[in-house]
Amino acid sequence: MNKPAVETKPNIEVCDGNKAVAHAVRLSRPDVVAVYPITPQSAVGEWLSRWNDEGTLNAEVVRVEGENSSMGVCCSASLTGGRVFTGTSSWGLLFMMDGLHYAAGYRIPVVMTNANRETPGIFTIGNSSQDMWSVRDAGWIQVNVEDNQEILDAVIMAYRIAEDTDILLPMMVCYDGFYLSYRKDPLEIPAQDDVDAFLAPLKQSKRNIVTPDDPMVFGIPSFFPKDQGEGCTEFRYKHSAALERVKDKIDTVDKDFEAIFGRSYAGQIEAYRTDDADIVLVATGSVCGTAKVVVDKMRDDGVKVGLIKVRLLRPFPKEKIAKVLEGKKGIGVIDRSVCFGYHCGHLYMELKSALALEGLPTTLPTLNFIGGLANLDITVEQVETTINLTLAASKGETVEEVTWLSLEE
Amino acid sequence: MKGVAKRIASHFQEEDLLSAATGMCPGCPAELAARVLFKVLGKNVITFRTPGCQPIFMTRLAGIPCLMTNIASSMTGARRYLHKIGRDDVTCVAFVGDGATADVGFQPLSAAAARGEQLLYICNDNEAYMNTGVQSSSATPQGSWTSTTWVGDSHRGKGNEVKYMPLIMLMHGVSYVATATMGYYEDYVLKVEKAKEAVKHGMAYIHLHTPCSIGWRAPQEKSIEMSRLAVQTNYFPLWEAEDGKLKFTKRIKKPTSLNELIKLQKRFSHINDQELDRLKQTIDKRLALLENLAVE
Repeated sequence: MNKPAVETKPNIEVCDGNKAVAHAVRLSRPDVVAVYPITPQSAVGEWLSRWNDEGTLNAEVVRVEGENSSMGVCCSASLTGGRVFTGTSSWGLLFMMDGLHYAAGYRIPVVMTNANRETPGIFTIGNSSQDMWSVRDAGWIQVNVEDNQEILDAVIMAYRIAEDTDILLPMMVCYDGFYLSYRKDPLEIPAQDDVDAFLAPLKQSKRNIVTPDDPMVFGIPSFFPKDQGEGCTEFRYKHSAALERVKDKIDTVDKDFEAIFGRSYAGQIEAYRTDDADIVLVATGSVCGTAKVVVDKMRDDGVKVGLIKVRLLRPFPKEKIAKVLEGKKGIGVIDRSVCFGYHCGHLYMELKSALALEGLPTTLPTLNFIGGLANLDITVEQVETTINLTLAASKGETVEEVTWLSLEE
Repeated sequence: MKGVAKRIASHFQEEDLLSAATGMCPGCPAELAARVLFKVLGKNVITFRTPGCQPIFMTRLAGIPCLMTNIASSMTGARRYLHKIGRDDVTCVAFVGDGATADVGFQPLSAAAARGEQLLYICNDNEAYMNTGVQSSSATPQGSWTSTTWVGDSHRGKGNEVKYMPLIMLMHGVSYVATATMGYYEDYVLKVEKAKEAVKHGMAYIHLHTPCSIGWRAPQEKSIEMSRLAVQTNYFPLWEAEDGKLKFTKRIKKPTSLNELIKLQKRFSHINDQELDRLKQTIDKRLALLENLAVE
């Protein structure tokens, strides 16, 4: 394979999702990259290592011995002033759980990708959203994308969001493992000049770094319990407030991105054919592709259905979602994971909280569909089922609140 | 004074970069070790520490608090970035307990050593998880009472031998390995000097033995005496290895009886002759191994 040429104009290349990540990272000019293999995202590290060894990427690539070390490498490289990247999936994501909290707690702008995959416990090697939802309380910014072009674009945008001094938080770009990581599409690979221009505003941002030239220690500078408690309270509040600021920031950055590259993902959520819809599906990730096809098909049959594609998972875009859902007659939420303890899916639980917090009527029929676990396809027929059941519920028929698609008891 | 002695003494004229007051326990040799460390290393450092008995919490130096699980990787990230921006003059130095070194942080340390990362790593070995209340680590000696290895009818203190970290690090092929103790502070200073140079080529690892009056249930004023006895009994031999060549820096011709060291520590108060003998055998075995490896 030839070296990727340094592009001065966009280039079309057939890439899988992993190579899309690698291209985005290369174009974002990271200083330090930590790589460790895990299915289905190992090729991310392979491409970055290869390009670095061949000389088209000028980074320090650290081939670590585990994901917990990936996060250690990234955090300190960032604290000392570098731009960093690592990628992982499932077992690896969970193995760096202490590092995830550390990165967020210290407000370190690590950019990471996660190829969504089932978690350990049942020895599966297949897609689900169980891993990405499991770390939702670590304090990171999390987005989940639909297709490979969106992976590439979202990673570049992630640097603009994470490293922005209004934000300074780690950001995880999640993409469906197997479905996107291995699927190949013709992608537009942006020109280096354009990416440089897009990321240029970050050069003006000045964040505190650890350097012997101006000694500083990160952390709460006291061992007295009251000082620690008050210090921690202040840090936590500011962290949470910064996460709230991400909502507007992701919308703004999306517009800036569109101005240069001509592509937009609508920021926090994409509302698809929802304006005059009676019922709305809510989903996230690659299943949104299937859902859009089914929505179009059902629209042709006269069903007034739309789709909310949730891009931003943390912070959860409850205001935007509630605004779209106001006045609707039924909602169907598609989940690829199980929220243990609530006996439903994660997105469903998030959505129910959002609706309650935003003051939508609790009588609004909302249904949950759990499917696509461990690489089961969520089929066109299954999405049709979700729409039909949601339609029935919206008309007052009694429907089971949570339906496990593909469940054979 | 002249020569080496003059140079060692000259370090003590340097600024003390630790806070005047620290949170360390009375008699803790780790605090002294850290004061001396930065008199030799100077200010052009980034310090790395984990939760625990870490006197470098109390420095006026650039510092990154780390997780116990990945401190060597955290050091790597900073070191690599500094290299990329042309700041190879900055020393990345960690002062880390035996638990984070030999147990929970071992995997990243081993990997960083194998990669030849340019890190100065000092293991503050007080032989258990002292900061959390004297729980056994893999650096805890055989037969010792700890709060997780009790003495009773079914068990009599810790059952296993010490996991001897200095030799494990040597086998990683690092630039410099040394054992040290504040009982022989000139020896320690010389080793820090060598480590400061060696770290330009790869990892430098110093295993610092630090008697702990709390965890060892020993008198506060005896920590330096115990440091010396540990060397004189061959319980903790002093050696160094530059580029893999191991040599003793303190030869003990007539070892003191191990009992002299043990009897100061109430964590060994239950120990009988048979158990003392077993500990002695472990120590003799380790010394024989080191002698076989030593070039001088």
